[in-house]
Amino acid sequence: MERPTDEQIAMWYPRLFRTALRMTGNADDAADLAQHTFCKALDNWNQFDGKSLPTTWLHSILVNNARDWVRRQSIRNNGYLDDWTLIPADGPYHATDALEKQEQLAHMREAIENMPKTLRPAFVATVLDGYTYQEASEMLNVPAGTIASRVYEARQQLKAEMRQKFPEV
Amino acid sequence: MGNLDKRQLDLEKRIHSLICGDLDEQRRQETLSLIAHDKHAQGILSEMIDVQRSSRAAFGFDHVDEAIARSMPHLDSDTLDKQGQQRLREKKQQTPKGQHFLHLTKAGWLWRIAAMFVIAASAYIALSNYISSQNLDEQLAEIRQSIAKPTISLSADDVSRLRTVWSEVSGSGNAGDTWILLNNGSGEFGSIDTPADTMSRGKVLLVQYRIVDESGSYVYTADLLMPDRKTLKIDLPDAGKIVGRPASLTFAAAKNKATIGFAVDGIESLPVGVLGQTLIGDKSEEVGSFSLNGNSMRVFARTRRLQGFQI
Repeated sequence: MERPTDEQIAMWYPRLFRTALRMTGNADDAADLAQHTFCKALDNWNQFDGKSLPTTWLHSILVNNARDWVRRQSIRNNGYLDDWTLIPADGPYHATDALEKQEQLAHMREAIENMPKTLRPAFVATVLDGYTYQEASEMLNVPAGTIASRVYEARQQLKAEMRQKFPEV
Repeated sequence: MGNLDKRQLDLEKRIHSLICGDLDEQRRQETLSLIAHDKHAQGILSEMIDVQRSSRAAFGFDHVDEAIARSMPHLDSDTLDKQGQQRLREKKQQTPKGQHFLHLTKAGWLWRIAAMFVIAASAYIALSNYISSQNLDEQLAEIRQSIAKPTISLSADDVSRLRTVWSEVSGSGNAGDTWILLNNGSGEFGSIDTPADTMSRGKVLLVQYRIVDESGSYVYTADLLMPDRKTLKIDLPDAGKIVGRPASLTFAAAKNKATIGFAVDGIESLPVGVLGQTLIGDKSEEVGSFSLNGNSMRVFARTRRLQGFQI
């Protein structure tokens, strides 16, 4: 397979970073992990057979790197390495100083965390991390149409819950 | 679940790819064009962006954009070099005696050095691309701007139709002095007052006026045909209506530049409109915008030379 272009690396980096952030819960560690993933991937690019999307392959390297990272950090694996475990970033509520807004965001987060297990991985991969439906399809091993359908369903559920809780918004 | 048909699923996938920046330029333009004419697609786009923005905010991911931008300049050779050395130390500790570790490492370093160059070079591009493309507000504004921009098309059939109209109208008089305005399915024609200097035989100038409101809907379209003179100026005080108000056009051309004017009678006020310069060519340009009854109107125009006309 041809080595990736600068533009491709630039396009993939944010997605890997967000996934790394969910796994490490720390922006600095996420940056290290994402960079290390690229370094390792380019080292071994000749092993990429092109049967999957490059982002899917990078994602699998990232997940393995994350396992090593956890071992190095001597952190007990208490579920952090569930690919789709949601770990908030630093200061999740710095976004706004309005109490009402904070309440909305907290409810939103709760609603996402409590999403049915059939919907949450597709939603997290595509909406939070920013992977395409095709990429998520390969990562979760379900058809892209199913991903689209699940994300649509997740959006409708979220909207309904938020409207019920905050009808004025 | 499962209440989406194939068309809806495809639309969901396509719009999400647009937000991800994962479409090539042609597909991106096609998708934007589709959204421009489809209220349902506009609703999906808006909903996806709203849900993404609020979900990311709920998990602190709105600040991630800044962190990503900050970390991109660290994708340089120094950082990767340190990473490489760290990995080398780890490998040395893990490698049993007798294994040809150094040989493997050299090969590995060749790859690593190549990787450093690739990533270091990409860091600058990545940072600028990322900042320009990942801010959702800017992205939304850009998409909305694109949605509101009309596509000014001209097919071979259109040109053929214009030739027929031109031939019928100018056949009874002097084609070198004729102008024709096609607006809202009707046509008007007349003679240019100023005498001709030099003109291109067989060529006409076509000016396509398109005015859209804030939602991107067309509120005025007109095509103006004239002989391709070296210099030309024409005023059309009665050029149809926009939102029920009389409109007037002004057009002047000199070499490859065109001056486009459009005005609408105000309600109990002076006329409002725009006057701007564009290049004669294939490109459509935004001449300017004006406010009519509190609504923002954007004026687009394309002026091009057409061949094969009877002059």
